[in-house]
Amino acid sequence: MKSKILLSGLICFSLMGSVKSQDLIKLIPEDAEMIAAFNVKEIVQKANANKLNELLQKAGLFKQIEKSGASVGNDIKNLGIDLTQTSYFYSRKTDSVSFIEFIFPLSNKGQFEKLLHDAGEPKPLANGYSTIALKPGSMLVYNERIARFISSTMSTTFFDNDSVASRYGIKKVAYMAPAADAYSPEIDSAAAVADSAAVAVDWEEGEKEIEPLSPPIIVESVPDTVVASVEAAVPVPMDVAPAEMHDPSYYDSLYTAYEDQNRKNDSIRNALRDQWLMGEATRLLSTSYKALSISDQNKVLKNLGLIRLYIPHVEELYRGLMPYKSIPYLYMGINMDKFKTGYQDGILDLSQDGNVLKLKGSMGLDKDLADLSKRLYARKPNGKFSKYLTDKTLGFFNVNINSEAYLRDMPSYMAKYYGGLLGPQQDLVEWGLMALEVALDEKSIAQVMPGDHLFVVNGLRKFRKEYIDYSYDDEYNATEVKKTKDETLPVFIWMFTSKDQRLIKRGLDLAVAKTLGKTQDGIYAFASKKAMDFPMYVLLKDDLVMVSNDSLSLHDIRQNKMTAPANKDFIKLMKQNKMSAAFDLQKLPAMLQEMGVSPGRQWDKTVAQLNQYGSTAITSKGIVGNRMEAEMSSKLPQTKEGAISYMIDQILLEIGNK
Amino acid sequence: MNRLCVALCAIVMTFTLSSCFDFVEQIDLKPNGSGHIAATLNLSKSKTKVSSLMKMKSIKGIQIPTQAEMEKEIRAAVQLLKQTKGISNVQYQTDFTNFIVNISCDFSQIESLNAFSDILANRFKTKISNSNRYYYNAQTNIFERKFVTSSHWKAKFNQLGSDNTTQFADAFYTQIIRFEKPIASQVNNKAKVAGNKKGVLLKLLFTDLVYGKSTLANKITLTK
Repeated sequence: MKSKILLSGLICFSLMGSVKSQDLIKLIPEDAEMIAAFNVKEIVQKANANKLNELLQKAGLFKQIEKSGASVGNDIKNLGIDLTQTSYFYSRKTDSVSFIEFIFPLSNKGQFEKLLHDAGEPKPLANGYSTIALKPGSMLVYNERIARFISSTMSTTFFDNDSVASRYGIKKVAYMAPAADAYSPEIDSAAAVADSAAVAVDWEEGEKEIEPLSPPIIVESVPDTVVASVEAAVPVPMDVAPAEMHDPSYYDSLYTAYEDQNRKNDSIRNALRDQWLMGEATRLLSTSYKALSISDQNKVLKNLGLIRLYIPHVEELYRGLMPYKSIPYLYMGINMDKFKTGYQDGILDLSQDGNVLKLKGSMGLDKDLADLSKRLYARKPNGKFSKYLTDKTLGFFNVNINSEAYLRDMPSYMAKYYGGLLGPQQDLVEWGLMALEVALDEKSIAQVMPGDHLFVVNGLRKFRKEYIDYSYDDEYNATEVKKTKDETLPVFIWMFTSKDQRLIKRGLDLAVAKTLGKTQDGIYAFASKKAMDFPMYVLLKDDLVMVSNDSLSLHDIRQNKMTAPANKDFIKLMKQNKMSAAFDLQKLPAMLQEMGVSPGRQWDKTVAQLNQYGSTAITSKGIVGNRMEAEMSSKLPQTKEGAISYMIDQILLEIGNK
Repeated sequence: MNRLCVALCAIVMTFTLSSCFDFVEQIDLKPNGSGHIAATLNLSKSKTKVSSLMKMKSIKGIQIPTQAEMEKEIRAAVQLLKQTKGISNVQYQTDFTNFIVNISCDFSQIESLNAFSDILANRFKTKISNSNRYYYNAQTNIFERKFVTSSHWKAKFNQLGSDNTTQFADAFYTQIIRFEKPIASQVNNKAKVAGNKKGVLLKLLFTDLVYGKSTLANKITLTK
């Protein structure tokens, strides 16, 4: 338990980091799958060290440390961890095992060692490092200036391959024997699976080589014998199940054998995991591996905010997450090796700008995908959208794509990047996509709907709603009666540019002719139905098509009576981005109250505090250079110390309330 | 049915300040103790909110049942009802536009109503059956309903917070009992007797029932 707390503490402190950060990043191997960098100095500064101390004290961490015999005086500075440098986390994966490592700098080894008092006696390892074993499958190694927590997890599918499993002495066993005609989903191809963990560890050194464990043997189960002898002695009628199958001891013995074998298999797996962990630690400490490339190091460290997550090869990570070796995919002829995404590296950044907390992500695209994406997003929002973003606007969503380019390029894009997923149908589907490309007149369609859309929630309005009630006669016989009541609901308008409105107008006129709707003052009205809880109104004005749940708003727009002042922040967000969505949190408490919606008593205080917040926005500038960029930002209440500090204040408040 | 009601009510009451719904129970009792019962849950006053909530899978850990799941529950309840001794002519109607569910049946004796209540309570693991019992004595012409405020419901309500009165300002439990003989007397001070003296109407605020400010208990004596 204590070691778990200690481990949590170390992970926690790795978030906050007299070694230069460049030294530590060089410890990350070049084949790291995912890397996180924690700008500890910045985090501690922005969070305020005193508040962090208070937070950790209230969370009970210092108390636990003191229980283990160390005294840190309720100050993170006394933990022996260097809080002025960057700490790192990365993961590395082979087909047999996954490793993760936290690397954090130490400022005082003696102080740090005191924290480990409860975890056992440190043992010298290699190259001046000492080690302490923590929970199974993980270890902590450290020297005068660095501490490294390394953990390993076995791949869940590595031993699915029979030849690999038998190489390590693992024998697969099923609780019930499969039917004779059952299809076996296992691929038994030794050549197909390379045991890269074995390659990664230098097994030829001899001393680290795993002692091959003798394959476990299951004692022949008694029921088989019983069945055989019974069958020989008494012929069992064909239509009656053998009596032994109903004997509970038959299943008990099967289960025992199954459990025994599983235990043996687990022992082998655990021994392998620990061996491979030791091999990985030895390899890392000997630095006999290629470090992260300079260009990747730069991508991790350049303009580092608070925390950065960097994925050098998004496509590989994506492939690794997909079960492309599974039988259904192979059965369908789907070859995931041919599957391409065009994605390169990915970066996710958490930063603070005053009282604004930002999460910014970007992804490198290959040239073809970058060029295609630039064409797809080559559209600006209709300038007329701006006047519908007013000070009454609670939130909006705007997206701008070039539908002409989309229709023109999507078939070839699908064929190129997702062709591998189509299996034997690839040719047919590609032919279909080509036919679609020829059949669609993208220029004409782009006139009907060029691709810019704005969905805006413009305040609240009372709507008259019908409901069923009961009236009672003198004899108290109940009769259903329809009554009306006012309900306050958000008013939304969805609008898009349409330079050629003939098709839309014809469709609307047709619906009216079929009595599905009606027109009133130039606005099409459609009554609410089961699938649609509110009536819908459509207005065609200038080159815009507008759909709303509020006829009054559309009447005002039609007669140019929109008088509310413009919301400059929202307009700026929309104009500067290819995609933007924002919500004014300040307006949320009043809105919820007016609508009669309660998020629950425990949230009342939080909701009330939203008055002090600003907007929360998600935006994307589309393609910048060859990167797809997106950003999420939240404007927290204005304080002297900024967003992170405010968040810690809130956590402290929450802890105080418990 | 009860679980469905509880789920729907819980959803509505948890997320809206104005949890409006009606639960109407109508019993027609014949002199020999047989009769007809119809129970209606009407959420149409809150249909916009219920409809919005049903578009979500779960909120705050509470699973929101789909329309298909609700219909399945109702069918299962109806099936149970059909298998209950003394219950016949089971009918049900659902209106998922207005969110109204109605179940009705005939009963051969008053005990069948209690059996029905017990079976459903057991199936849906609700703790209401012992709080609510019906009795009728054809010799004395006395109909009696015993009702004890459920501590289970009270606890559930308390979990929601102390502002329940506001939340349930428009939520009612209505009970109507009609007889073939005129009523000589009844003891519930909030109940009204029909003009023809053959019916009793009791419309109570849901919160008053939960917190024991009102009761469904009554003793109705019919003329001989």
